[in-house]
Amino acid sequence: MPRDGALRRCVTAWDAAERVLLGGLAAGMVILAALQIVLRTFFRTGLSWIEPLLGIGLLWLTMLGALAATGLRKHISMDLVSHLLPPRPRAAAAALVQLFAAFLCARLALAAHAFIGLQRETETSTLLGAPVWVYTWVVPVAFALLALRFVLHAALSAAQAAGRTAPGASADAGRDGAA
Amino acid sequence: MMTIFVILLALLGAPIFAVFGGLAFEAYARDGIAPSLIISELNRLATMPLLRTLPMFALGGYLLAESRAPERLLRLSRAAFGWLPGGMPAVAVVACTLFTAFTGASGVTIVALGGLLLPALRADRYGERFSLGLVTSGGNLGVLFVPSLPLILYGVIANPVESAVTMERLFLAGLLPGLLGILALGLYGAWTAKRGGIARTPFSVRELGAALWAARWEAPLPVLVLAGIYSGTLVLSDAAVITAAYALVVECLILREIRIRDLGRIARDAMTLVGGVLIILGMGMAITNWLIDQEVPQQVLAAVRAHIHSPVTFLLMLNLFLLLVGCAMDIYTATIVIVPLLLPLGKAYGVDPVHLGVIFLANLAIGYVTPPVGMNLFIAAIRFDRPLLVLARASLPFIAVLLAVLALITYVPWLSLVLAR
Repeated sequence: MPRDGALRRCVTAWDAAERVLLGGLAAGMVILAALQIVLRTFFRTGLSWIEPLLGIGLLWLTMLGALAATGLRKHISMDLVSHLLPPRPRAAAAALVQLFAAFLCARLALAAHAFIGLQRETETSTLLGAPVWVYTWVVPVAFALLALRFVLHAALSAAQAAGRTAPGASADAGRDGAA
Repeated sequence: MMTIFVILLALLGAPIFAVFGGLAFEAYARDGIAPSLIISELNRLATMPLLRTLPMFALGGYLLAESRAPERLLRLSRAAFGWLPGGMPAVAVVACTLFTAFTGASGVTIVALGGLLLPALRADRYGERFSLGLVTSGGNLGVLFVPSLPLILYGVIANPVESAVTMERLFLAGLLPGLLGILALGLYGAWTAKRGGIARTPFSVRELGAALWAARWEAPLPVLVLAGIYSGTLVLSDAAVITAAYALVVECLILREIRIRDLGRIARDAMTLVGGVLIILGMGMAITNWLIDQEVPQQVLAAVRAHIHSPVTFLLMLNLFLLLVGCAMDIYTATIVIVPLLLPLGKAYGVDPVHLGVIFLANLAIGYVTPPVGMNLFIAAIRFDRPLLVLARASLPFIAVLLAVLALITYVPWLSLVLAR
């Protein structure tokens, strides 16, 4: 199906973007932190913007890492009950759980948006020429994307519960980085 | 009502961060606190420098695990310790423990080492059940050694509550209990070898030299990091940067076993773990603050004190409680929710908070191989393509050994405290 082709390209591009972003972010933090150590040890100096930038880098890593964890279905959970269920009720339970996660991420995105408003009023410091709140935008954006991802997962699980796809199909799709 | 619904969803497998977020929204709404303050807690992650060590150690550990370093380090430890009675199991325990310390008890150990260790153990004529159990549970106590992520997380969470928990003390406290665990598992391996009449492999200086030469690039890293941190000459934040930078340079530039294009995938795997843990921490801090405002720790303390009078009973109940927790929850979530409630209890019963940390981590590490949610069981089941039940049974004797070690760690505080003055 041609529609599938477009979707697949989308998924592949997203997957690649995720790897580039997280790889670049992690490697960038290591390089900056190493630079700071070299400057401190051998030249008894340092760059004042590295420290706060590393802190913001961690926040970005947290949000983008959580986003990747959703795509790979690797979120830490406490699944005690669902693996005892037969496939269809299990898929229904998964749909419910993912819908809840989507709802919650949407609420967190709104809360994060409100938080940025708060930060704009109170935080006056700047980092690399931009006000600090600019860097916080990753939080609402990532939560919104998380909500979207969880909605897609929920739709896949619901289709599975209704018997429209072969059992396990959505899990495989998830592992490929779809949704 | 809403709270019960959220907890129900947690049991059905909702992501923990969403569960915590849901509870935080509930709690804040009840007290009329703006929900944006939940995000303000999450935002505090940026201001905690020690947390930055987590992605760095994870990246370094994952890079090493993906290269052929496990193969070379295994060869080296085999050349060094393989001639001992029960040499191969001892090698397996040491290698798994080291990898668990460097990759943060995430199952990476089984994935990276399992495929090498299992055939090696079987080739030395160790039984299948013993070999499977050993590979699945042999590295668990790696969480007690530097630079394990759970150990660092305990320090990050406990330090603001109990200033006696410094990173230096915590690291030194885990050393002897961890070594005791390695010794106990090693003795069990030696006993199995003796009972099975397994011949010892002769020691060869030439092989040791060749193995050392083959591992010349990777072998210095754990030595540098462990010796540096335990001796106090290397601070944790620098050790983390050195680990990540060293692994990047050696594996990507010098040995070129990891192509730059694979770097993104490996970094994403590592950051999936770190992001997954930190987002729970961010949501968890919002809840912990609320609990402290509501004086919940004091209420728990009063309730426990009404029923438990002696420190020994307290420790016993603690062991049992944490074993149960370990069956249902992973070590990271448990650290984030339980440690803030546990510290006042430990203080009331005269348990040093550093000793408490060692008990806590050792106890929960056993949870990695206890059904129904022991993560190592699932990962090993997939990795070795065996039914879950076979792995659960294979792990039983090892769980028994680990429980005996846990009892010693719990009731002999000297083990944890003699180095952590």
